[in-house]
Amino acid sequence: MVPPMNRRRSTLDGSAFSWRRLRVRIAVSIGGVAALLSVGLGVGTYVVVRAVLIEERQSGAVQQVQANSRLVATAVRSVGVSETEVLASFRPQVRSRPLLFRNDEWFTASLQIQPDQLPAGLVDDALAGVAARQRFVLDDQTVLGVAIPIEGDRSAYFEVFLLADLDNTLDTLAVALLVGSVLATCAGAALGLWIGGRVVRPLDAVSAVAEQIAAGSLDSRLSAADDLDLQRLSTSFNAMADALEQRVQRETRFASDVSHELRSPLTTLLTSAAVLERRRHELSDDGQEALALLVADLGRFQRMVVDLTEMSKHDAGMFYDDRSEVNLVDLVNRTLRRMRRSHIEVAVDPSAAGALVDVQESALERVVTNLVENAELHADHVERITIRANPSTLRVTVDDIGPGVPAEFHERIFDRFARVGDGRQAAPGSGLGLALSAETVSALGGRMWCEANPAGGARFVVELPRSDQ
Amino acid sequence: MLTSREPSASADVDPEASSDDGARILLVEDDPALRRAMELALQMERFVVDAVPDAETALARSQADPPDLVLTDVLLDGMNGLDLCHRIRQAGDMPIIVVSARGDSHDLVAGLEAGADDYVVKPFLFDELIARIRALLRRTGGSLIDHGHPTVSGDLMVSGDWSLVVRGDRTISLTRLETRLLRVFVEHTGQVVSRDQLIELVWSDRTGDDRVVDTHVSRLRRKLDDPDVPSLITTERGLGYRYRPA
Repeated sequence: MVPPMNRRRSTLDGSAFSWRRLRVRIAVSIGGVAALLSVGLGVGTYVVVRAVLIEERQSGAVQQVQANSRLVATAVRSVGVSETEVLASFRPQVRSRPLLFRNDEWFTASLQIQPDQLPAGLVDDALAGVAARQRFVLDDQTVLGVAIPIEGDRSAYFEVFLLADLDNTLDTLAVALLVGSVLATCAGAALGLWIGGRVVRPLDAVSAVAEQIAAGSLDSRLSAADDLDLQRLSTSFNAMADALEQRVQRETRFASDVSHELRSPLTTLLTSAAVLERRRHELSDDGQEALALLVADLGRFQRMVVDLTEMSKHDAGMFYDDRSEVNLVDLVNRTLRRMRRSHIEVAVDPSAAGALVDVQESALERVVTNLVENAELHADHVERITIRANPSTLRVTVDDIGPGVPAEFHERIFDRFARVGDGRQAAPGSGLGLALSAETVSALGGRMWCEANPAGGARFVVELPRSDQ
Repeated sequence: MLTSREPSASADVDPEASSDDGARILLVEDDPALRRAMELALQMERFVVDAVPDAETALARSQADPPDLVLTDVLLDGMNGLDLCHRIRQAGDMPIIVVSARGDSHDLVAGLEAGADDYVVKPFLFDELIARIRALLRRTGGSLIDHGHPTVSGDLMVSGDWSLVVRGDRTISLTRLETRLLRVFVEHTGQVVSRDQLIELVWSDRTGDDRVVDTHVSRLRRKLDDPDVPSLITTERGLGYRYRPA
């Protein structure tokens, strides 16, 4: 029988990045928070830096244009210098393209910009005597236009600044911030995976110990953790395991105590019934029938108490620590001799003769005894016992020619107190013999099953690992 | 008017006799109901039963008037059944069957180590107990061994009636069962004797099992062997035992 835990574990291992894995959830959560924070910070930084840079550039530009406008105003008033020459002589600190509107006429030193490309609002403001600035798009490039009115006549001075370098700076900043965000997100996810691993590691230890306990080693415990949080986990887990162990022991002890306490009164009953049996002829017919019923059920009761005692010892794990290599064929023959059943035919495959198994002899003898008794209870007698060898296993097959076991009961028949049929008909056995046998065989490293005997009837097979191969 | 059936006074005076008839059994059992039931059943089998509730009384009775067989429970108030075995065994080789309330192998081995010849485990079928009692009485009762010439086997010397076993300058006191066991070994000197063979030859009716055999062989060994010399009886793993004289 495979513990269900194994099956669940394998499906978990199957999808390493399932959302149902705690490690994945922690990694995604921390990665997500890192992404939000870094993107938020990046966007904030970009917005602020952009605003500051643009403001600086604009105020610098305005100062430069104010200074230049005064120079231009002075220069154009002097005689003999054309407006175009004045503009062309400028070597402004920051590269810009000057324009001058004077006496209803536009002057420019550059072919790269034409007055009609200036935004109308900027021109109108300047001509109305108001200094103005405006960003606009010129030939697919962002530019800054600054306009200063020149006092005295209806004229204004314009400068158009290319903002391409500023755009480049801002683009670089944006790329840097984006890369930073991606890196921060990845680092967050990696950190999450690592933390998740750290968090899950003690849980792995817990589940390993839990599996050991489920597999029967009730005394498995978690080792004490240094971490205070984990200490609580290990303390409470161990407390739970203690309680479980105590409870199992208490139940086992109870079953053992019950069957033990039943022994003396049951022996009194059996012995008294034996006295009555010897005196049977002194009883009336009704009395004899009642005595026969009493004796039959006492026999069943006795088998039940014996099997229950064996079962509680099995549950307490008291068996199987006393193993030795034995010749399986000899053991079967010896058991039959002890049972005074030497007449039962034992067919031994030549390769099985002399084959050894590593078992607790008395436990395996009990299994053989149970199978023979089972066949005799349900089918009157054992038809044949066969011992066969495979390369790594040995099989003992016990056949009977009886009513057989319906296919749907082939597995359930090994449950404790299993009943085949509708349960109304009382079974003659204790209901524990086959369960105890199957559990014994499994504890000895083998397995046991029931199938249909091809000749009609039931077949029980015990398979044990060979120890001589 | 006479009744059709003569009321029999008691079961143990039935005129039909078997070989064990009248054998006296000292029964030690503290559970009053079980004690009485076993007393009735044993009397019905024509044994003379002396039923007592504790080991102290049993020890006194067995010393005052030795019975043919002692049947004792293990768990008793006061001195327990194993101590009783031990005390009786110190005094002689009176046959003892212990009735154990536990079937654990270490309990059974403890009983046999304490000197019991056989054991039954509660809840037993009365027929099984009777079979064991009769088998033990047959094994130990009367003079089971033919008189003959003294046997010499290595440094072991045995009198013609096997009542005296001497090794070197030591006289060894053996129970009858141990004597039978030794005799089978001596008769099969050098050969491997399986546990099944021993059960067949010593416990003729197969009431014995491997644990009983092993415990009795180890007891025999302890009595025979010198601590510094290899044992006369060696264990052949998976096969049985082999006796080789020194």
